[in-house]
Amino acid sequence: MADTNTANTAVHPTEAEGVVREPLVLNNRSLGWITERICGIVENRQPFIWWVLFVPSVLLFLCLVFSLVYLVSTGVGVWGMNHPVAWGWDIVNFVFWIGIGHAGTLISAILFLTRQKWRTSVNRASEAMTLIAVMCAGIFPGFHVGRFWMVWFLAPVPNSNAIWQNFKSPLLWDVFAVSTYFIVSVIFWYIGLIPDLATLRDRGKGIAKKLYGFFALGWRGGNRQWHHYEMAYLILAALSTPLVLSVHSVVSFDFATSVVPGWHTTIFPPYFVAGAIFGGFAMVLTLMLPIRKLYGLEDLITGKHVDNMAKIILLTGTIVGYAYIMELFISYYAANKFEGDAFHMRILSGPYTWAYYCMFFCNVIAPQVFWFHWARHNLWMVFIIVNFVNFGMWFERFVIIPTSLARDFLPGQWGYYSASWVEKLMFAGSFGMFFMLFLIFIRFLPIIAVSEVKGVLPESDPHYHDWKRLREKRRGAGK
Amino acid sequence: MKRKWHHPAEEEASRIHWRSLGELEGSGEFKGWLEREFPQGAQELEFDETSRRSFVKLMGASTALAGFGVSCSRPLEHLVPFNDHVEWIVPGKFLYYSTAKPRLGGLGCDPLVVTTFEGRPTKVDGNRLHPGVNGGSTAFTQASILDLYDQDRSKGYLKKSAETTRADFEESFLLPFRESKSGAKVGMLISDSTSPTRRVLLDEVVKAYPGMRLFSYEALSPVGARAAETDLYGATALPVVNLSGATRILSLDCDFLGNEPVGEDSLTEYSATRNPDREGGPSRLYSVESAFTLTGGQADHRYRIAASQVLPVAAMLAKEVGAALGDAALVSLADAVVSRLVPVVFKQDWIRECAVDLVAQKGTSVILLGGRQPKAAHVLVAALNRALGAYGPLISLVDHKLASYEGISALSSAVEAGEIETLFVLNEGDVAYDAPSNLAVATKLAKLKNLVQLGYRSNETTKLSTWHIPGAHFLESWGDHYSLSGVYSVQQPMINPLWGGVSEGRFLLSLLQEDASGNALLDRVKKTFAAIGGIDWSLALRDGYAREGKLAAGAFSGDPGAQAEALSKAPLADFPHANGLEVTLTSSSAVYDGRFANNGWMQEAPDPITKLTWDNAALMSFSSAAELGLEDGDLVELTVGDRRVKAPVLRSPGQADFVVSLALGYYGDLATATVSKGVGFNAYPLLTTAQPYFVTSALVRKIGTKYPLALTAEHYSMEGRAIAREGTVDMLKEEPDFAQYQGMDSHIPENVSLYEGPDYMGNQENATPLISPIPGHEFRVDPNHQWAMTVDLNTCIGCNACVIACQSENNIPIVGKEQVINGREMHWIRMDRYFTSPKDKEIISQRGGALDYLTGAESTKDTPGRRTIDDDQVEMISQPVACQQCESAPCETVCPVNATVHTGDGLNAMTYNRCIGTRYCANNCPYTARRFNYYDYNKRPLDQLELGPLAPASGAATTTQRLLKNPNVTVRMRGVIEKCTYCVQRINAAKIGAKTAARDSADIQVKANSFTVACQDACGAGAITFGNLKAEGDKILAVKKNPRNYDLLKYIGTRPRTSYLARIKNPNPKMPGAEMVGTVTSKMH
Repeated sequence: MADTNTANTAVHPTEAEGVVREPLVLNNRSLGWITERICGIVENRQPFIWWVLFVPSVLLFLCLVFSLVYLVSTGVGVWGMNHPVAWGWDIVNFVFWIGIGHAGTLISAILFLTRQKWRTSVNRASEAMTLIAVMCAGIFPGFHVGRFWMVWFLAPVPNSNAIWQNFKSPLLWDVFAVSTYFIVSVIFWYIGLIPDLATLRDRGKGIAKKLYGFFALGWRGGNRQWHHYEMAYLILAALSTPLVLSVHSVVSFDFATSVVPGWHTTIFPPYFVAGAIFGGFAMVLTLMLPIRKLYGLEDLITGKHVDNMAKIILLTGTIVGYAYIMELFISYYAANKFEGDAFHMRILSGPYTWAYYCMFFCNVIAPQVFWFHWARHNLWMVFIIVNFVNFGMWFERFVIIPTSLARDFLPGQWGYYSASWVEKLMFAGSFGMFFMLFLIFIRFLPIIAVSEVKGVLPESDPHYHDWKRLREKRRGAGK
Repeated sequence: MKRKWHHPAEEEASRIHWRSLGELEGSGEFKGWLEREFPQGAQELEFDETSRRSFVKLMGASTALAGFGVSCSRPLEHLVPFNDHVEWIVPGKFLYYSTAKPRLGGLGCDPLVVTTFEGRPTKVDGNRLHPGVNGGSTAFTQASILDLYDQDRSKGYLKKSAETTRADFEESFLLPFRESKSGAKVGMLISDSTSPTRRVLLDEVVKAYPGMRLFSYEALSPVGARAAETDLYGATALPVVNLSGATRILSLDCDFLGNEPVGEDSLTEYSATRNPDREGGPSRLYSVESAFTLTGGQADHRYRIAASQVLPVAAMLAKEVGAALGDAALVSLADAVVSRLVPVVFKQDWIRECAVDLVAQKGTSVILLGGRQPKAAHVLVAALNRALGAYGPLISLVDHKLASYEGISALSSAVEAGEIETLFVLNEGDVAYDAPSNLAVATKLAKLKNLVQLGYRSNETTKLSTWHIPGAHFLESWGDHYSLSGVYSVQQPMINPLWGGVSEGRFLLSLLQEDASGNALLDRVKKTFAAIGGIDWSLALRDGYAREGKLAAGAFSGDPGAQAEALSKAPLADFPHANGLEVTLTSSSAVYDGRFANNGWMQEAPDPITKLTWDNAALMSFSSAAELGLEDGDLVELTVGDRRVKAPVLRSPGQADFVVSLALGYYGDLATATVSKGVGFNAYPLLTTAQPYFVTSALVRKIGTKYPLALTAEHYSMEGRAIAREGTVDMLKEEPDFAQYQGMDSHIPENVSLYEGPDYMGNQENATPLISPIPGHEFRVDPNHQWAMTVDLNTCIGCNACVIACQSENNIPIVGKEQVINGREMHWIRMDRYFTSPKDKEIISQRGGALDYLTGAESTKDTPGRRTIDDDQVEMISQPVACQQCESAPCETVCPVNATVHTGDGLNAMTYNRCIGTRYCANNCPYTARRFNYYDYNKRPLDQLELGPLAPASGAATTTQRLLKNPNVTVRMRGVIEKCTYCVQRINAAKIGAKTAARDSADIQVKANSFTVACQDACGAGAITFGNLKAEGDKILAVKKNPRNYDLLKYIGTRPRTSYLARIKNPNPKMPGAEMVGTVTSKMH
């Protein structure tokens, strides 16, 4: 990947003001170019590499389907859980994917409300990633139960037995939190897609035109439509914002409200949310870096975007590191033997210390290189570090979930957990599903929000022409 | 006369088919409910504005209810499916019969009560009525019912391993044999037994076939003891120890609390002596043994030493005792051994102080010696006991009029010499497998003209037999036994032989006469009953024993003092060392001598000490293993001369150095039966007539491969947490409630929760009832019943009887070795076992933290010996843990679907139908009491669990096992959580009983102490108390008030209903290391 700083930025209007601000779209790209480039991805044949990625993803996805059939038909015994470790990779993967699903909404909602214009180039893809990640996440708790065919007991359906759900259970909160998050995210994503679907409709032919037209809901781009659209988008952003914080907080309650040493800590909600954003951004970068290269989107997804996201990773990674250390301190300071032992064994004498140090290195130490400008701007470096983070965030959940259970209150019942091949295949399969759906998304939908990117071009600024004139005047005066 | 089935009276019928307790009571509320067309919410429909939501709900509910609740014209029917039955049977109710089972080893019997349901026995328990026992049972007894339904039981006649018919056997063999009327070259191998009827039959057989020779053999029979007893009391009498009055007990390699009871009910008697409130204080137990046993685990002072060194220790002790008592004869007897010893290698101060203590309590002190120790040792210990005055108050002699039979060596040489051509094998063991290896019995038996085996399992001997006759289980046969103390006990069958099996008695009858039916045998038993002076046969049958015909006392006929010669000639072994290990061949806690090898419950019951399942292992001490370069799971070959066995190494605390303990009875590759196939390693090749118990000069060689061991607990230490608490007699005196303030309980912060749970005990007035969204479904505390349990760690020895009893009562499946390795065993009550040692304590007090001083399985990468343990001071404590039925249960709050909820009577109930299996409750249970059915363990073959629906559905093989199930307990499917229910089926049966009896009165409270739960029933030590906190006079109330009572993990605030009573040790302050005994948990905080 090339060094993004070589792009020509000389004609950026803000220069006229004397403020050097990196432009969000490089090389003075025109509106037409942007439409052509983004819609072109959908309209043209996919590069060969798309197939190279897609076919294995589908195969992996089929592995997931096979694993699920095997799991349901045979029993949870095909996984590696036992007494006392009744949750293993299933819940680890659930929390992992849910965590990844956080960046999308954060970018689309919170950065929207805070007027962070750089979000426009990455929000569409991250939202899609969010939805797909939540789908991947949903599989695990859905299928991890002993009797899958009775999962509907989780839904508050009136029934003749007059048994209701237990509203005290964090698992039930999870069901509501995750489904709410998914529904709102889908709506938010879809609303954002409407103007671009209309663009594709206008450019398309035949069946594609009809389909895009159907989903564009009659968008004409009129002033009134834009007016309503902007308002709807703002409201949805406001609705989504608390969800970013609530979903992972609720997920963390699965652990925090329990009595298990290593789970039972009040620090979990903020720590999980920070971790989720951390992991989510890492996954966004993992996806966006190759995409911008493959589809020639360097002018839209620029070094500035990467730099910003790297900074967020650095910030959230440091918060996570603080949380790790605070957990240790509290366990020492509280003088609770069970709690103390849980962390003692996590970091010193337990069977899973390797996992702890894996996690600590990947999540806390590795991102620290992002303090350096060169590291944030060396795309290979960024790519490597974000993958450390992906890896580390999975390990974080692993360290929290099975290792706490394996060493709980009564040493007479301590055990050890290791995943079975089915669990490993399922995890790989969930990646297959993730990539498969993401590649399908790339194939059929604009991966960058065309209309929104256009909105952050210098030309769309009402004062653009004033600045342009001013600059020319100065140049003239200089002569 | 034709019997007519009388329909039960109308009133009673409605009591049988009740839909709810409300109907049973005939309460107005229920009647009103029946009358309303839309029972729930009918009011709302009438008076309130109907919402769409409630309309849909009501329609759904009423459609569903239309099916069962509100139909009014269902004709009253009586189902009479069970046509041929005894008159007093009540469909749906259990019947209880008394019977007796020959004790393992053959001498004496275990009196039993068997639960039967519609003609099939489902559970075995001890007989409380029988004199001398308290109704407890052992794990073996509990598991014996499974053998009845064993799918691999011998099911038909075999001729040279080919199937044949009974007619063929009778025609080709039995009739010609009976006509020959000659016993020339005929032998019969039997087990030892105290059955008078069998004795009569055998006498008649020998008379009918002159020249027939009788042999007896059991691999684990106490040969040394019997030899000495023959000399001392004559061949017909047996010593019976009653520990009730003992104040000092020294066990010399005698596991009298485990597989080697020395009296009618040693466990019960011993447990009673351990009561700290006992007059004169609790008894004190000294133990000298090579490997931890259940007895050693209870000992106040334990001396680990090789089994071969027990005779020297006894001799040194005898010398001290003799000197103290001024008994010159005893001293000279002891000197015959001591003069040949190097005393400094022994713990002389230990022996001396022990002797002083025994002498000080002369008259109430007793020494017990392991039955298989050599004769010389038995002679010496008899002299010691005599000097200490134990005979009389503690040891009585009972003249069992035992017959003497020839032994296995005689059989072997007779067969070899051609003196025997036809051999009947009737004994319980498997002679081709368990005979001493130097006799090569199997090869000799193969040469016999006729080998006729009667047995209910097909084994190694079956493979050699010319004729195999399917044997009957003890629950299928008539018989009688004298109990060890000489009470005539009746063995009555519970069921017709399932596979046409023949009992030993019927087989002997068939040699004598044409009619060998069960009734013919019953006649013989009745005849014996009359002969012993029995009066009321029905009464004896009901009670399980006869009040008459108690055996007479025996008397010393030989003088132990005159046996000095035997002692001076007794061989003395060297201390074992790295190049001359000692192998102790022990009886297995799971399979005994091999007879339980195909019993899945026993195979999966964790060994009480090592927690090993599905295998035996070469146990050795940590330091010996380190010196020999061995680790857990290393497969080794043990060689003695040219005999060798393979076994995996398992390190075990408290083991004597360079002593390898290896349990007998595992078939390994020999076995072909479903359960025992490939399980364990056969140790019998090391058993010889010369060294039937401990084998010296053994060598160990590492094979280089690892063998997976299925341990249910890999951790030895409490990790500095005061879990199984203990103290000493002195601590109890100073501060009776010390146990309540051990560990973190010494600094529990004040509970500042805003939530007040329901007040079960009704101590707070006007406690607000919990609100329910459905009217009429508010949580109501039952004012009459609040169940609770206590476990007294002071008497619990960790023997597994409760574990198996629970398995039997609650239809708990076994899961197989692979699944145990995965940590998925299903036992609802489990036996946690911890080792404590002063080293642990020191380190904990220094560092104030947890220390894994013994490596668990996953940390074997640590160098062995790095974390060492003081094997001389190590103590063992067992703690049974089941669901604690917390009032504030962490499992209940986390279940998303309300599958686990609290009941008004204080149970933490589990609704299997509602459970979807999120396993969150299992995670959140601090006691790890919840079990998840990971595969369909009840349905699928254990070796094909992974095949899921592709695995063959269990067919005919397990149909018999289905007969075993308790009909009152759901057989759980896969994917649901299960756990201890406090035997809710028994609770509800009692409640229904109380309600039925109460009729219209309000007195519906179950009578105090009127029923028991399964684990409580089985506990011979009486460690488990269960009862109703609301019933006046219930035993539980007193026990809960005991100052030793503490809650497990109280710190978490779960308010468990099950609590524990701390163990009290009674150390002798003068013994070396006495200050360490029983103090470990008191130093934890």
